[in-house]
Amino acid sequence: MGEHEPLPVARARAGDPAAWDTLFRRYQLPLYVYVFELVRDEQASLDIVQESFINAVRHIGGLREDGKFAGWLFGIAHQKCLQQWRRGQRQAMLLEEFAAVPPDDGDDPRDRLIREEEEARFMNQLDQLPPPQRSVLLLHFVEDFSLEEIAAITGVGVGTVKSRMHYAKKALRKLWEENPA
Amino acid sequence: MKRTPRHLLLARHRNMSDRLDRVRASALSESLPHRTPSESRTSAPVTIRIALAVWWELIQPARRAWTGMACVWLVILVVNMALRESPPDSAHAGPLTPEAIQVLKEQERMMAELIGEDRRPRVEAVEPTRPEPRGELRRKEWRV
Repeated sequence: MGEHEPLPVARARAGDPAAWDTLFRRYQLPLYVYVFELVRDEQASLDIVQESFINAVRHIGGLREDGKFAGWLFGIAHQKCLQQWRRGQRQAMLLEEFAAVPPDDGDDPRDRLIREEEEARFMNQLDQLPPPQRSVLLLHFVEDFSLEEIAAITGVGVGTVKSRMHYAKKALRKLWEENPA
Repeated sequence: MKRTPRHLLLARHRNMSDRLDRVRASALSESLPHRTPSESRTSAPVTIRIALAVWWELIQPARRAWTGMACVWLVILVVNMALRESPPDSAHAGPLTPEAIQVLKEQERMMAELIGEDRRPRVEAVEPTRPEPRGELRRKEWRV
């Protein structure tokens, strides 16, 4: 299923497993990325994704509008992340292996090296942001959620989201300028 | 090609796809243990599948519109039923009392006086013709 095709949320409401499979297949990676970038624990992130899926099936009745399924699902995962933080089980993991990033064939090796360095720098700087700012920025990057949707997912006001987004971008810019390549 | 933060983030975790597939399957089997995706598509008879398809594709997406239409029809039905109820039928009224008959006769008399109508029958009674014997009729026909 393409990203812009309509999602079978209505069928999922009636417990159609094929519809659920389609929905979860669409969101499993973005949801994992969001959770992992907040929790920084691979196994804990997988557990949170699984719990979020199970909760989504069980509580689909609480979703008011089918069009807001993505935000609702990310909201469930966000709450799980908060619980994870509260339990104090967060394990700090610093730099990631960038070997997983598939190289583009046909590029100039020097360009690729520079780009990979820049990407690594970006990810490293993203990691340095405080979790509330990182959360807002990740939701914006990963699923291009609107400010209102991010506010609903994170359970804060739109003004707070705006402010966090502003400071997150400012902090990223500052880190970028402080650590030139 | 410059990649967006989204591409970067997703690419960073692309190697998790297999494990995420297992997580998805596990979540589905735990929360929907009775049916697998393929079963739900094929096990139902054709008519039920068509009915379900109509329901999900036609009615469910616009359920508010359909509910509104149903409400309008209900209102129309109720109004129609209310209008159909006839006023008290005169046939169901009880037999005329002697007083009522007297009043009616009085009204009739007054009406006749007012319009000056001659109560005598206008058409004179026609003398009934006497039937002729059949033989006479035949003779007349022969003459013609």
